Amino acid sequence: MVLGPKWKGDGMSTLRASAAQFKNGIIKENALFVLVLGNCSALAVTLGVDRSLAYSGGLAFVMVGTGIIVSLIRKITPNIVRIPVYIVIVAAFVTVVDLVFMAFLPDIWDLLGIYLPLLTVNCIVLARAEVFASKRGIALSVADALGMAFGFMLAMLIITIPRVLLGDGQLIIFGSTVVTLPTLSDQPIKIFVYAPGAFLVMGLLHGLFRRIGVVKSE
Amino acid sequence: MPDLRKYLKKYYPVIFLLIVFAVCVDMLAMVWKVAEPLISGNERDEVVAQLEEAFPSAEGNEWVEVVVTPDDGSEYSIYVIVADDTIINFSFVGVGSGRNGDIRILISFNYEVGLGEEFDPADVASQATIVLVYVTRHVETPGIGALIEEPEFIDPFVGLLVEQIGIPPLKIISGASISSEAMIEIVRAEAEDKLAALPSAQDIQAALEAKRAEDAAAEG
Repeated sequence: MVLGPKWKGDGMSTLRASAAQFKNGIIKENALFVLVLGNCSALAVTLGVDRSLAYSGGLAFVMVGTGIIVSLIRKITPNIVRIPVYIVIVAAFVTVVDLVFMAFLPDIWDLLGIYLPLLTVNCIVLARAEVFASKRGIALSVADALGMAFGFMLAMLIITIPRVLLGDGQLIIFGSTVVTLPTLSDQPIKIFVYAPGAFLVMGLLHGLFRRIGVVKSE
Repeated sequence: MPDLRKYLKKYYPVIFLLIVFAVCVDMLAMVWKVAEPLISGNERDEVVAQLEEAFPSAEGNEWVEVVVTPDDGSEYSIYVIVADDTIINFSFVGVGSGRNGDIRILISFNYEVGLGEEFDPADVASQATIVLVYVTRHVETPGIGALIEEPEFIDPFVGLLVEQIGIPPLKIISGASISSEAMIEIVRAEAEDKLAALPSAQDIQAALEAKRAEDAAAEG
């Protein structure tokens, strides 16, 4: 796992470093395809564009919130209790997301169900808090969280679209049918909407990205 | 004084963790204060939509919400359906623990009694039959525990008396026994409790008249 340099200097260099850290999370350290973190949720949630976007949005909020707080308290956090402290912070932000979705987006909350509270144990959040935010300033931590979340969202969409197209034969985004595949909509390949289909799509995408060099083999 | 410093240093990690915990709880309490009315409002809208579907106002049905406040300090709503000046249904939301968290269920009982006519809640509890069971909220495992909201599991509830709610005649979902048993138990326990503490005939009539006046004012 690449940690990135410890940036020190004026505002411009912090901005440049933050931009570099943001880009880092999108492809070079993509959570799903490179770090291979958060796969359980990717398997479960990638059954529709709406829910993938909502889940990624929730993850972004949790990561940014956790990144800010962990970075703020990094110098006073006792080493021996740092993981319990991070878990308490992550769980608090996840509960906020859960309540906000329940209050303002009840339909999306219904779709995500148990997977939203399970953000607490999503490896990406705890890993970035432990590996990055606990060692860096707020700006870099926020940039890292946003980059990671954005990269995660892109990866979720890349997994979702083929799964939905093959498994349902049509792509519906926010209630509107965007694409309908004539043959597949009548005879969808149902395995793709089940967990084995998610494994298949993820495995094929992993292989493809390594083959074309988007993701470098370790 | 050196002893105090020594103890503070020793217990600093625990104190720090407790402070973080307290701050997080405080933050959640603030968010809950904002979200709770909206969450309750969403559930109420869902309940009303379900009752409207089952008892359409176009067919002369009216519903009224009566808030009940038992001695234990709790508060809940009983939804009463009235048609042709006759109470035909009592509905309420029952809550209990499922496998992953709370399951909230709209439970609806048919029972006929004239509007304003005194009735004994014990008679309702022994004679009313289930007409609708609808899961308003749950966090059971998708594809397994979540089967509790499927018609195959819910439909057999319809037509049962309170005393008949149990296994059998109801069946447990294979692979989701905790969720399905919990659901059956919630419906049974909540029906027993809430039908035994129904609002009085006067309270229902007063609430209905207040609602009619409100509706007339809104239209006028």
